Amino acid sequence: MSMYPIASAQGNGSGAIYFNNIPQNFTHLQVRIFGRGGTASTGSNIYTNWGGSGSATTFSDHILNGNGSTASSSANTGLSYIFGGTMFPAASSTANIMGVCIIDILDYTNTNKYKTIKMLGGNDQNGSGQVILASGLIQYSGAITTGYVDTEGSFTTSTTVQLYGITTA
Amino acid sequence: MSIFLQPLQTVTLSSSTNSINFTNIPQTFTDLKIEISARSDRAINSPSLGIKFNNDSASNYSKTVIYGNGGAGSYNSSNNNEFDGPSITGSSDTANTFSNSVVYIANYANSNYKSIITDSVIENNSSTSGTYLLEMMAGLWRNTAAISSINIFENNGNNLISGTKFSLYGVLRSGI
Repeated sequence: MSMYPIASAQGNGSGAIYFNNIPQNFTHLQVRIFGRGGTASTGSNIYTNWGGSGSATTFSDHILNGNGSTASSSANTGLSYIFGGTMFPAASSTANIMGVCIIDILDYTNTNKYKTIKMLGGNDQNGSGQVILASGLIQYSGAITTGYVDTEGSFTTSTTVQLYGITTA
Repeated sequence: MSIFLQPLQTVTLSSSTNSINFTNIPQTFTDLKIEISARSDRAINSPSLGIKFNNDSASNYSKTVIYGNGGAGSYNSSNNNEFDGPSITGSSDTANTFSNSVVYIANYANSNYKSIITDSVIENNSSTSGTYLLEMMAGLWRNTAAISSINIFENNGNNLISGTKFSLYGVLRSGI
């Protein structure tokens, strides 16, 4: 099998979920989030950042969003994190509804490339929802060794986050 | 259901070239998946790849696309001589930046026509409309042959630069 579990975490309602000392023996990384935010709203955004020693301090991101009635896109530059849009339900949403987000980071150990991450995710709340394809640019050519994911009000304890390493031939 | 993801072939460019080939693709999997980290030397934002299966250059390819680039929209094109595949990073995009793209080919060894889905993000440190791109597409190759080779190329005749990487996987579903 080419996809190996590296680490698993659960939301704790009190802060971001961090991954440190990421092994350097894979080609690609994938993060899978089954999540819900703790903020008093029906939606909660994803914030993420990946890097290493001497990593970038500002990031850009781009988002393609569909909300059931319209499709739109948006962009941010100069942020201190990568913003991926409203991937998750939150405390004002119906109980037991979760959102999903899959993050792909290709060639994460390549020291000649800035890192482009891709986020595909969304949530449906029986009459409203969001589906999102988003990207983030990390202007850092070092190997990725650390990262975090976060949301408003932090991820609830029902949230699970898995980090996988993917090999190539 | 279990899903098995088997690395089959990887091509990492050490110098610029227009195209790469995956040949002698084993017929023992259910689907194929290609992870792509690519950059073209074409001096525009978001140029694209072309893809041909089994070296078929007949007008058997079509696609339907949704995209966001500051605006958002959808379009399709048909009877093409190649699959005008996922967009990638161009030399007008931020230096040292490569695309993050996936091509998924379902039932590639089946005797039906072949359905393809792709997603691709092209980053650029800019919020100006038209200088970045997020896209998903559904594609069709109207051919019943099993796919045994895949030709991927810079679609304008330009080159893919050093560092561009294509990772081909076989996906095996069992226990369905």
